[in-house]
Amino acid sequence: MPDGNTTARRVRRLTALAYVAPAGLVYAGFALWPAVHTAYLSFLHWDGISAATPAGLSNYRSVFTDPAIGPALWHAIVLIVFFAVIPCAIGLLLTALLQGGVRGMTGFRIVFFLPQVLPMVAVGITWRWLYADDGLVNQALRAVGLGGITRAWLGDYNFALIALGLIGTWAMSGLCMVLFLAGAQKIDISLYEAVALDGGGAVRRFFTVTLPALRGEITIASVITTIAALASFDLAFVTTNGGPVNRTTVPGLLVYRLAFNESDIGRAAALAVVLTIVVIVFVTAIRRLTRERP
Amino acid sequence: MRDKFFRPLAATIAVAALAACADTSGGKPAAPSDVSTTLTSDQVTLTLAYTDDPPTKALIDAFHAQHPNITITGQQTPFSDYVKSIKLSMASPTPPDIAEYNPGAMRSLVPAGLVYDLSPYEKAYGWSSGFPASSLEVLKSDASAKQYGTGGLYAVPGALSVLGVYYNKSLVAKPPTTLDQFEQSLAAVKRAGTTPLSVGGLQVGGFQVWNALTNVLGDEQQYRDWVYGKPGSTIVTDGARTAAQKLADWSAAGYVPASANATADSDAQANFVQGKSAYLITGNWAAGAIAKEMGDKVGFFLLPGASAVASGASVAYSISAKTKHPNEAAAFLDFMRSEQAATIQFDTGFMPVDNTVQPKATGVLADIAGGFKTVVDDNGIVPFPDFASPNMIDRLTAGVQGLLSRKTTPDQFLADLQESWTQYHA
Amino acid sequence: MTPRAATTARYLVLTLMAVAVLLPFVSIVLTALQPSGAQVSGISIPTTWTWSNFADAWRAADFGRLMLSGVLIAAGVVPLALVLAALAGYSLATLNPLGGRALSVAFVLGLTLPIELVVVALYFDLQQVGLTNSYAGAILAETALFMPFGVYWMQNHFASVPAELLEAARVDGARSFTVLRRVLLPISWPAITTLGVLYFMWSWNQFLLIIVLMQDPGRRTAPTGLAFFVGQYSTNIPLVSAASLLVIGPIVVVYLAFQRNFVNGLTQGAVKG
Repeated sequence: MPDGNTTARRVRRLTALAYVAPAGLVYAGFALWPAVHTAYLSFLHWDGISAATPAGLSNYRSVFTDPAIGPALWHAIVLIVFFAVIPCAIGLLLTALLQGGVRGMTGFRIVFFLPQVLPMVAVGITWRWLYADDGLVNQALRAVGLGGITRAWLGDYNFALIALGLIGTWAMSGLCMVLFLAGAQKIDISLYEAVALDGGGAVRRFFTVTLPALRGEITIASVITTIAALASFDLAFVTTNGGPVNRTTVPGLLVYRLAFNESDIGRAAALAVVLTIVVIVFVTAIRRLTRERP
Repeated sequence: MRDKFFRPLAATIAVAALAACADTSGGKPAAPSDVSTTLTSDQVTLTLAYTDDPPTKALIDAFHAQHPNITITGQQTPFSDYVKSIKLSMASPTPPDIAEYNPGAMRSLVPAGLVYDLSPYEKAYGWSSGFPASSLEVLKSDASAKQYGTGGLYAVPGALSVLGVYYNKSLVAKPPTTLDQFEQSLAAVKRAGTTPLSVGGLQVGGFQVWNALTNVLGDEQQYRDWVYGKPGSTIVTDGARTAAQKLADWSAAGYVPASANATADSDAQANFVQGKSAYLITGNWAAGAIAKEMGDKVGFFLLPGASAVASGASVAYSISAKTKHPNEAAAFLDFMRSEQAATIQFDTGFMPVDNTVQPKATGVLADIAGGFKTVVDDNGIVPFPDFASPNMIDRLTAGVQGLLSRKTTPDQFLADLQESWTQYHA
Repeated sequence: MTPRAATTARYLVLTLMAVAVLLPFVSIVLTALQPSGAQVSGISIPTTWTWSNFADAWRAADFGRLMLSGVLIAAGVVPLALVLAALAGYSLATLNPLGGRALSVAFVLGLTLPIELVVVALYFDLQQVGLTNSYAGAILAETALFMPFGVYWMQNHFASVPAELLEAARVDGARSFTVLRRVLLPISWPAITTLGVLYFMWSWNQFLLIIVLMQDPGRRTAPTGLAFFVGQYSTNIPLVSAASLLVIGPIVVVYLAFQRNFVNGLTQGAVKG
């Protein structure tokens, strides 16, 4: 009875849907729907209170042309260097150095991973103090005879964004390292021995065996850290609030400001949409770049 | 679950429908009904969101002593966070009954109908006497909240403030009486190896310096029109430009610490209190805290100029249109012009709302009272510049950071302010 | 390099890294122990060890209330999100529901959605239905935002269960829910615990969502309270440091107790993709 069978399967597959429904409804109602709604709002002029008027693409135009908004996207991209590129490089370098493992690794792993679990607000506040006139950073510089270059780093026109980025480097390096070390442990030792037999040294070993084997880990580390850089909000909010002279504005900060301080919901929404597109472009690019080539 | 999912959907369809046939008339201000000066004898609890303390806490307590059945719960938030969050708070379904009013950050609450037009209470209580007219002016605005000084009344002052210069008497022997003297004094302090001026450039402290300079260097009426949103006004004026240039020059000359842009207002104040700098430009709202730390080592003067002009505002309170007890909230507002409130206002470093009350003062409080009187007598109180448009506070903060780090020219700075103004008022 | 020298070099590198990670903490711990309001410079050993900053900060920021608020929200989010994610993951991995592939994609898509995109409209949507300034609203919003990772995690987990185990149960005639409860759950506690601690961490640390959705300062969470506390007391560095440590404290305790889950969760959960 093929018919009855199909019907029974259909019913089973429909019942199976009931298990997904609660999660799906909450997700759709409180995440997907607001996301779509935000995209819709980006085509309106709306102050959040009175009647909205159609805006066409003008909100998007202003996202790119407004001198106070455009740079924020650029800043977020600069932050990728500090949140993603440098941490991954540090992670890879240390993985290469540490290959073979040491005893007591668990303890180190606990330490390296620690910044990952802390609220970014507390991290930002801690670093605000470290970067202050008489904070640890300047104290260290003075100790090594660089007293001449000390300054309030987060208030410096040229260095504020870099200083902000380095907080990200501090927070993200451990994650990359733990990911890569875990991946490296799964590499078959015989592969290394083969390279050694060929007369290859440590450098060749790294490039021919370790790096390709860590492809998956590298992809995921870059994706996580890149999203953290592009969608950062907490850090800038508590350290610089975008200053000095808007040098450290990031899209998240401006979305919040535009939407909830300046009641310019349309532009806030447009910026959020552009940010999302930038995130998707970067994530896709990373996946492409790290994909295995036949 | 269904409802929570579908109702927003319905709401958006409604928004879309509105958008399709929208007009730009905006919302309508809210007016209270059942206005009465007779209060309930039931136990009533009101919440009050505020940023300035003093004087708010003391005023709450004094009011409660007079009306034991009315309890007011205060919720304090620091200024830069207050202006960031108060609009969300007032628009929420459970807003505070009373909120400290900031004409810059909160103006969109007016057309939204989220704060009451208090004109009926003004009439019922006879507020035209007891509150100086100039202090009510900036709290009035037209229905679209684009222009101040006209239309309904949306808040009532609970204490008056004025922007001026604090000086450390151990570092500065005699307060300067002209702007030139002030600059000479800054140079002298610098030569003596002390920082002349503490500036909280991270927050509002930076543009308050520019503001004070603009007050004395620019045309008073031009400036006032600009903040009030009078059509055709501009801030691109010689006075404002000279003020910006001076601030940049001061920074270049090292009168302002290099770390100013990373310094919060409270840090700048702390540095001044600890004797790390000779001068601090801020309002009398800080007087209480500064006097407590420095005693008779501190004095206050208005930035000297051709005539006595200084930015001033008030710690003002408005009433949420969603309150269940508008009459009791209005009674709290009415309390502000009482003699008892005047004493509290004055003792906490502010100027009393009822200016016929002249309490005795000593030290820095006497300096402030004297300075305030000269400005009021000259009718020289002007509003703060961040009231000019909703995002002006960010433009001012970022712009002055640019002046201090000499990355923004005075012309760029003013053009940017004007752009924000035009965008809002066009 | 001799093996011995190599090992020493490795330890040296590891120790240097660890110091770099820990130094900021050393700095704020030492600062928090300075007398309240003291002028502190970098890392300096307090001349008098002051413990009262913690009590003062606790009182001044009303952390008792803020933490209770954070615990209430997390106590709603963690069980709700776990149950929903487990049910959905189970179905998507083993029951082949109608449109299952599309649903999986829709969930995975959410992994890249920045909160910024959601929060603008979410505020107005929740305001419509009276769910701003409410614990229920915050709980549902966080649950929704964390759902993509949870479904993805549970789906991967259930997919890794040997098919024979499920077949055996089905042959016995067990209904799908019984299979989940009797067969799968007992062997899934490690995966669920891991997801649970990650959910707790994300909920405890959530910032943007809370400052937008919660206007009543008494309903905010510890990190949001901390951000506003700093605005008020930024000059009193010892007090601010103590406040930061108070907010960091609970999550660090949870982390140390469940460190294996944290590390595995974020590394393995990610790598499987």
